[in-house]
Amino acid sequence: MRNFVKNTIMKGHYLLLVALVLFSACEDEFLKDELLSDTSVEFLYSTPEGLESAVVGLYSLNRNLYQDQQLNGTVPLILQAKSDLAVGITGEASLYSRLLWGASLGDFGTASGINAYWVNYYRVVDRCNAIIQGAENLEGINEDRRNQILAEAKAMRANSIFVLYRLFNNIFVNTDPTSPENAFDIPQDKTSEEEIFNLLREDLDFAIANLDYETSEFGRWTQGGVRHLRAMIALWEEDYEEAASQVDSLIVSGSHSLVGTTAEVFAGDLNHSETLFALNFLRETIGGGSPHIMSWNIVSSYAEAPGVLPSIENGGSGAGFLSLNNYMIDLLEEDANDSRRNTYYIFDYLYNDEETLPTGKEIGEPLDLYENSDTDMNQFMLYYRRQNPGVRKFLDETAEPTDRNHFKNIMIYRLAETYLIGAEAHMMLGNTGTALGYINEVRERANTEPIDVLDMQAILDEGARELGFEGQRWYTLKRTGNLYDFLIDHMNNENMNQSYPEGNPKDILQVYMQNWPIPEQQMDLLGPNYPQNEGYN
Amino acid sequence: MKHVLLIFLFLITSYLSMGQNTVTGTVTNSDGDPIPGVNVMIVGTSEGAVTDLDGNYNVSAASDASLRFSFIGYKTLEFPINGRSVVDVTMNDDISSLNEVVVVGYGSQKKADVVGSVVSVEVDDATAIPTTNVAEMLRGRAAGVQVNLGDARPGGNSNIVIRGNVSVAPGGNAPFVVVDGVPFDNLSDIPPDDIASIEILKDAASTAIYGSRASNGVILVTTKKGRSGKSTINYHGYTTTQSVIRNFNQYDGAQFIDLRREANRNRFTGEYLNDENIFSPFEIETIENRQFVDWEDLVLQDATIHSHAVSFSAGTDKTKIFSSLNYFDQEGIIPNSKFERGAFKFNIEQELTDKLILTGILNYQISNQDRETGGLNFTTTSPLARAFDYENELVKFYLGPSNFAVNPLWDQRESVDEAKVNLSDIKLNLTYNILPNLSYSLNTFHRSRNTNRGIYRTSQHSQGDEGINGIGVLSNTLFTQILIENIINFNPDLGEDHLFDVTAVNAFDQQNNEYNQLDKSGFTNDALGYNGNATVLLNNFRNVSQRRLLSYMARVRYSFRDRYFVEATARADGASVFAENNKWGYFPAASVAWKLHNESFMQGISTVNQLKLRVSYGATGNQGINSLESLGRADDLPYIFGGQTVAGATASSRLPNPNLKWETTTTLNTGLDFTLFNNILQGTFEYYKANTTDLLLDRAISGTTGFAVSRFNVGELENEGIEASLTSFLVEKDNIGWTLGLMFSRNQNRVVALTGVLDQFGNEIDINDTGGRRLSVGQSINNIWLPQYDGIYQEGDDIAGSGNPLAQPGDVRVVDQDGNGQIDSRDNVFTNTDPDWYGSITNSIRFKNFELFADIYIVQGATRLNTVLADGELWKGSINGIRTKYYTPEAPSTEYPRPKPDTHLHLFPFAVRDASYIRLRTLTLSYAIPNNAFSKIGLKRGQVYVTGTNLLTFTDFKSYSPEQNPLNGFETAFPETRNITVGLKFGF
Repeated sequence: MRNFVKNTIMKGHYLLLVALVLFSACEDEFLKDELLSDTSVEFLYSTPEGLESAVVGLYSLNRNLYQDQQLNGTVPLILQAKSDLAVGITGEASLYSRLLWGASLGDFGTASGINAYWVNYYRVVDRCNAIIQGAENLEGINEDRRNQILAEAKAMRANSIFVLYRLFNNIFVNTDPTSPENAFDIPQDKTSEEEIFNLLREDLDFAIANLDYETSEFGRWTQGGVRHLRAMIALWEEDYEEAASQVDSLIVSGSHSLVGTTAEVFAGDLNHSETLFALNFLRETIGGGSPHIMSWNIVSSYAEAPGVLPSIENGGSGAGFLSLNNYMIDLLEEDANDSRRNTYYIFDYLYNDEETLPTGKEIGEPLDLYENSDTDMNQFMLYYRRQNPGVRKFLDETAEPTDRNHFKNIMIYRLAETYLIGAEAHMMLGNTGTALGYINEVRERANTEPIDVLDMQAILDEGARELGFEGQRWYTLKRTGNLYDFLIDHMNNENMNQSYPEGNPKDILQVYMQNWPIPEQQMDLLGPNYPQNEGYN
Repeated sequence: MKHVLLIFLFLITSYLSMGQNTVTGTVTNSDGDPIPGVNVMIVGTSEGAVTDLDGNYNVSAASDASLRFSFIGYKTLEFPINGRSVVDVTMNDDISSLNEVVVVGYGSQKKADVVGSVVSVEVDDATAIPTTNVAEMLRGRAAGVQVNLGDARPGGNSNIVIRGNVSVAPGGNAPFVVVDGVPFDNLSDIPPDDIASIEILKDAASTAIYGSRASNGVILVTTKKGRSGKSTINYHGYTTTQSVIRNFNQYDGAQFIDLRREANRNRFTGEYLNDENIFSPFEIETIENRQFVDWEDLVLQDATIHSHAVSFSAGTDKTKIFSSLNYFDQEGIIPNSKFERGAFKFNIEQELTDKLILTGILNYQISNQDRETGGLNFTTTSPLARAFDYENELVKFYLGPSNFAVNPLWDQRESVDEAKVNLSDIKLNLTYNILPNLSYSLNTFHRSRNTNRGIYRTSQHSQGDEGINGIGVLSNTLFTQILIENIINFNPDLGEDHLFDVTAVNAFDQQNNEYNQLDKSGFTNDALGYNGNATVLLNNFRNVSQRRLLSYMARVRYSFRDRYFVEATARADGASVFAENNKWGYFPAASVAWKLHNESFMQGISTVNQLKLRVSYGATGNQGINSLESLGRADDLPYIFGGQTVAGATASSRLPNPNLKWETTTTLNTGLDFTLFNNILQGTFEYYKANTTDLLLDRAISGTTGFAVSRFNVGELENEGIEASLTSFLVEKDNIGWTLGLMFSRNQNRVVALTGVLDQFGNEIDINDTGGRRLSVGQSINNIWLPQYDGIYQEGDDIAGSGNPLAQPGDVRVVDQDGNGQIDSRDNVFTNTDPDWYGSITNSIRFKNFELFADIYIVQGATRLNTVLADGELWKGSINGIRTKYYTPEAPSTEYPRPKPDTHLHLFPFAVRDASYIRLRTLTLSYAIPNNAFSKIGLKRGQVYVTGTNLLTFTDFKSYSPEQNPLNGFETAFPETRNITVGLKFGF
């Protein structure tokens, strides 16, 4: 004990001496704040290794929105909920579909889910800016390496700005990375469309020139994905020549092709010839992200029905917040041979439980206990909740059937959409033959009869069947000026519209809602001069 | 014995004849030693005398006159002469002694000479509650000290706020805790039985000596020390029973069914939906069988606390030793929650030579905190459930086979969460008395706290099942602190009229934190828990941080003739957490005091025993931010490409500020200390105003920048308040006594300035900070910013013309401030959540060997948003919660909304509720066992007591505690308990 005390005193003296020396010699060094276990931002944006790791970070940031579990995981489904193909049944997703949320400034859905889009995509844009500036200024880096970094960052930037523009219309685009010096500069106005599209074109043209079609790391931007995006932007600008040329180049490149059957499109990890850009997830793996619960939102709660237990075949865990409306169902039933009905969607939940099987039913038969009555709420509520068709596109086949947490890769862009873009562009240019050829590629793969007359309605209908619930429908309707009319005609279903406790959403719907409201908390930070989208005040 | 003698003398002398005569006598203290300098006054005149060095006096007085004996530190006495010529007097120590020495920063001082705002806490009253949460012990014990319940679990903590929130920084409002001269990061690391005294420093004059950490006030704790003289051994043990308290009811099964049916009623036709539509088949089964679950009843159990404390004290002229052993064991009312602590303390003071004194304090503690599994909720869980099957085994899927929510009891059974803490402190102090009035002291302190936490969720737990095969989370935190201080004290002798002393300090403080975490899964079996072998590494973290502080400080104190006091302090602090060019902060303070009662013109005023006026002004700082906020930091964001992990990173969403500097609080304090009417009434009034500038404001940044938040110095915050504390010794007799204490505090917090950016109307724009607060000039920083609740829409109301034209009767109505027919943030108003005032009333009544102590705590004008009432799921009938008489078309309520199948709008404004309360916190009855009962077995002291804690609470706020919401996120906040304690103290 005594020795211990002595030693400690000695140690104290020693420290004191050291401390005194430090005080007088290099006080600054002594009080320096240091990163002891964190990566520094300086390293990230000023070295080749740092920049490459920052590029990987972009993919992760871009994925964040999809694994956002707030609001019962509704955030990545807001576009689907607001489309003309869905019926909102219950839960947060239905609040968006019936315009109680996300359609006014004051509602919680705007402050939460709508705001999440604004924040997430702007964050990606700023990090892209930092990478692009860093890579451009970096000296002594191999040119190929520099261009790869720049191309991926520019592709990601263009994609994010395009999302923001289509959703929020009045957006502010800045290519300088945010720094403590400029973070509080208040934008005086929105950025003009011309400026936005100039930047989108420049970024994507650079990316096309510098990215390969092939990558050993599935999930990164490739030339195919970027050309597809470039074609989408061209359509938005009504530059049909450009759109057609991008589509043609992509298709003749031979690097991508439709997979043989619709059953293969969403099978496994989506790493196949049709995928142009997808988000990657992997269970229990560092970097694999956290789960999304999209599938759970859009598969019915079939297991509540007697005779049916949860199974992957039936669509796994389902709550049935959002579903296919009658308009979508009718589109899919147009051609009796349409394979998509049972590969992309679930029309039949099958009896699989001997114990609770209702009398007169057989194992393997589809659940058919409920009816979508026009007027009897007791009837149609049960139908919607338990039996209405679901979507299989986000289903993780490896998940436990009772687990709503899925790690399924999420399809963002695929070649079937490229064909439809090509069809539209060529139709507008008067190349009906090529246009029909493109759309029929998609139809034939789905086992439906080719068509020989083409108009906008046919392209939109084919898009609904092929790409429904993948998140593109709302944009397409907005771009073609059809959003308001299609929603007034088809949104939700009539029986639901008339039984929502707050009244019929068709009475709430306004033309100006084609632009999302810029959330108030963001408007507050943008200064008094920043223009809110028309209609919201 | 002395008293008996006195009365005897008094009786004898009273027979003597009346008339003018000379009276003599001796004044002694309770140990029989003479007291020199006692004022002996003839009542009703200005004549009198003062006792000499031997305590003798001599006055000439009428034989029917009375004599008053007064001396600071003793109770004033009055005796009629009754014709006697000798009146000997024994004076007793005044329990409210002014002669008492209090601990102040870097030293101690006579309480009577204190110039700043310093409160001493009555330790015995404070430690009457059975807990390790020392912050809770300070509740209601000192004016201006507000305690907010943090976590009521065993081993939990509470937050102390002294004189309001002066800072907007996250760790910016916790007072600085100094124990035996060294900073402590956790007040609850002190076993209550070891505490000798607690002083709270409130104004800048007293705290500026602690400079940059002092703006929230300082709590000085002194632990027990050995004394020279006889050895003593003391024991204190108690046992406590805890039971849940709440002031709301949940829905029982039948009521819950009604709620669900009502919620799903068609709003237009009034028809109820079939049960099949709104209940799952399983729920229908429970309804048919009328099997409902009362979750609270199932989960909670009464629980006990045991505490034992033994201490030993011995001393000679040269060596003084104190040592203690404490053991505390608390079970929580939630099974699996527990806190256990063993503490050992060894305290030695050794005179090495005439000039060298070595003091050493050694603390060693081991504690073990067990927690229930996360997400335990027995407040809002549906009663339509089955917890046990027919064999009385737990059921995993308690809401039926098709609902995969897991029985909360199941996960409880399948989880372990334990944290083991090893704490060791070594404090060594070497004092060198170079000259009688010059000393140098070297203070060194080393602390190491190692926290090992292990969590295991078995392969049956809902997080560890379905192929995961158990999840283990292992974490380890090592906190180390090194403190070295050089202290010089100089008090030259400048003659009788002058007292002068100088203290200079150079200090260096370094704190390091190292954190490791490993998440594992795929355990071969559950037998070894988190110690088992896992096959999958899910995640690993490493976090290392350091903060350093370098300080220089000087203090000068001067007093003249015990009347005029001046004190000045200056401190310079350099902190590593600030930006490169802003490391240093300078904190000066000055104060003056005037003891009016020592002035000659006050001598004749016999009702005033003591009167002291104090004024102080000074600056203190705040460094309550995390390190690295001035540096750019990246978050790791790995991604998966084609099934392979690839490392990735991005700049964190916190934008660094390379110019970050100190937050400075300038405080003006004025105080009046008084003792009146023969020391019967004593008290203090204080007024203060504290202005904080260069606020360490965490400000939300526009989303367009890609960042969420940055901290920077801007704006000004003001706290202004008054405090009063009064103690009245109403009855003070041998066999009976009654002491009444009152404490009152009022603080107003107000934002004075923010960024200076103006909106279109020329007002400063509001700022949202990351804590979700909205800061607005003129408003308190603790506020709720929501539309104003305006009742429930009724049949016949003008709904179309209101702020929510789509509303139906039974919906929540809020005020449409701008009348534009819609409700958005422009309709929001501010509600201050801080209390208007808080205070306490303590009564201590003594009768013979019995003592009754009662402590009432009052908080008025506080507001809180009740998150359970605000939950839309409750009004859908999909979760349980606080039961109300909700609106139905048949019985329209004006207080509560109508249940409906969707989330109501404006439930948040509706849920803003008054959280004022009055609570009988402590009621103790104790009995001191008479000394003669023990003499044979050598016991010196003995006491038994019974204490009730939180016996009665009056509040409108529906929760387990008026200071907390029923839920903390999705899980039930650990409930406060009502406690009954039986304890025993004795000493040899």
